[in-house]
Amino acid sequence: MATDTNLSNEQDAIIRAEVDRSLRHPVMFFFTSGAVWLAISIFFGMIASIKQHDPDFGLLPDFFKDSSLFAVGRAYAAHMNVLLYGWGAQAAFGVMIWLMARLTRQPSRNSGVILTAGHLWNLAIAVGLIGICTGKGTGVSWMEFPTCVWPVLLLSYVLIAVWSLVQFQVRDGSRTFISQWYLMAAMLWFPWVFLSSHLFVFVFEGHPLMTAGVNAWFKATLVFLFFIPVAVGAAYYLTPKVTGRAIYSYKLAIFGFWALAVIGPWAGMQKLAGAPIPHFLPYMGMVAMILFMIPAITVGVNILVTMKKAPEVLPYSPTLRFVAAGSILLVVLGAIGIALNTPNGLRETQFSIAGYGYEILAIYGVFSMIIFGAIYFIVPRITVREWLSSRFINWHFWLSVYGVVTIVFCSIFGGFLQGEAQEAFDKPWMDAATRGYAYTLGTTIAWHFIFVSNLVFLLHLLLMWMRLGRRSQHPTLLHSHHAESPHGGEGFVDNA
Amino acid sequence: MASPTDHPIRRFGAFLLGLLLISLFGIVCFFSSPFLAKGEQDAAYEVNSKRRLEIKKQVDSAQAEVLKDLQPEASFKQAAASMISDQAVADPSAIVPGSPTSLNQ
Repeated sequence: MATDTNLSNEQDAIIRAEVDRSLRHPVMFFFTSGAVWLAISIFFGMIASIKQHDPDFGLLPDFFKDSSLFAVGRAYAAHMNVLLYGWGAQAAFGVMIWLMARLTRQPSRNSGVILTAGHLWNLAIAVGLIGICTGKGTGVSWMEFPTCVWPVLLLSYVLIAVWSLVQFQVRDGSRTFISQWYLMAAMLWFPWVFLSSHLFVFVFEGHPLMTAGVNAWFKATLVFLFFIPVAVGAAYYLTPKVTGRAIYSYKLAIFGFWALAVIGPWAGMQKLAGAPIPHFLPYMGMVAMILFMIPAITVGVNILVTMKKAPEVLPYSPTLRFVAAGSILLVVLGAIGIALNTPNGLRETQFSIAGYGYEILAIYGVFSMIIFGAIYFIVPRITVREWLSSRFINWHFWLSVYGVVTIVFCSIFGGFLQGEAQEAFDKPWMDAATRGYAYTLGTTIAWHFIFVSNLVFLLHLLLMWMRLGRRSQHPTLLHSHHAESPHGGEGFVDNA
Repeated sequence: MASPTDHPIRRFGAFLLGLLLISLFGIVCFFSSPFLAKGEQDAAYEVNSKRRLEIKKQVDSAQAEVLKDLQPEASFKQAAASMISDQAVADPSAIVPGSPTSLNQ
């Protein structure tokens, strides 16, 4: 796909097997530890959500009510930071290093270093989580780990990602595929965003307003310039692979990439609308958030129309189903970005629960759904085993979709109602505070669904990690072709 | 896989280039921070804040002097005790909403 070499199919299959074997341990480590952190993050998310509508924690033991470990500020900070760095970053690393190795046809020569760096990353996350829960967090949104943690995360990232840059440089053939553009860009954007933000917030002496502005910029660009590109790069690889059809419009794909690259860095400052900063900054952020619809709809149309060319595959393929859901939610993300960032929309929702819904849609609805699809594709190839249960995959998919759609609906709709009540200056504030009660309750219930779905996913992944999957000659599909077994006959996994 | 572009020197060069690109962001931030991250305060603000802090210190010390003699804690206790001991004065002309009087009207 990515190379113009003259390899036979057999030689290419051997190289793919070498790539998969070389990356088995680091990629499975990232996926499995990421899934564990996802479950932990959702647990803290449930606690933070429950405390918003039921601070006395009526249904659960007093420990959760009285303990400072689960104070709502700490639980929420733990939830978001573990979601981003424990799950999101590690899942992205696993997909990035495997995809880049596959697309460049370069087996990894540094799996030991990558695995060690992965352990270091996990250690830093654990220290960060303990720091937040014991009150040592920084209080800066999405950067709440104690200040000793972020240099370790950055060092680990360098030791993980630099080898993929090397693979790209020494690849055979001159042509590149669109996925490589997105992955290379994400690999370089992440250190830019992460390092500069942390330096200006924690290291250099600066005006507190500048700190707030840099933090707001960091939150937007971490999503638009790291998580979204990795997910889109994976979607552009998986869709033609599974459907067997070429991308609908490669020119549109290139256009979408450059649109994201140009628009993405300007987003973020809309969070500071009304703050004593130059007027153009929040307006710039608002415009960027609205214009994000352009790359979102470009990618969505490209991926979904490509899938539509092979309608017989979509009902059966777990990968395609998750990627399709993520692509649809990407378009929804663009639309909600417009709704929340018009002048009226921003005025109403700036200090409401709507912002949380948008963030969860981006990280869970778009990024995580596409990455789940990538995991369902990659894991059989690196473990040489097929997934055990199509039922588990179905549960994971439907509970996740119901959960994230409910969270987004409750947060966005509830946010607008809260904002409307906040704007009614002649009414008591209690009215605005209680308007969101039903919607935070809905969010809590939705998180329970997502928690169950991810426990199922974690169990399934752990079984695959222990190589207890089936040796089968065709993939685990969502609806079986075969009367006798959903997995077909015994045989080797096709690593195409 | 061994390709014409894959040899140790090229790999090492790519490794160094990757490290350089990543650290370049930090280097740029470091050299731009004196222009962007100004820690010093506005001079007029500094002068004014000194004056205001001086006034605040004077007010606090004067207040502490007065309160030292008055012993406010003792007077709070006395006022609370008299509020508790005073009986509520009944005012027949005031009708409490929901009371039998209001319902009979």
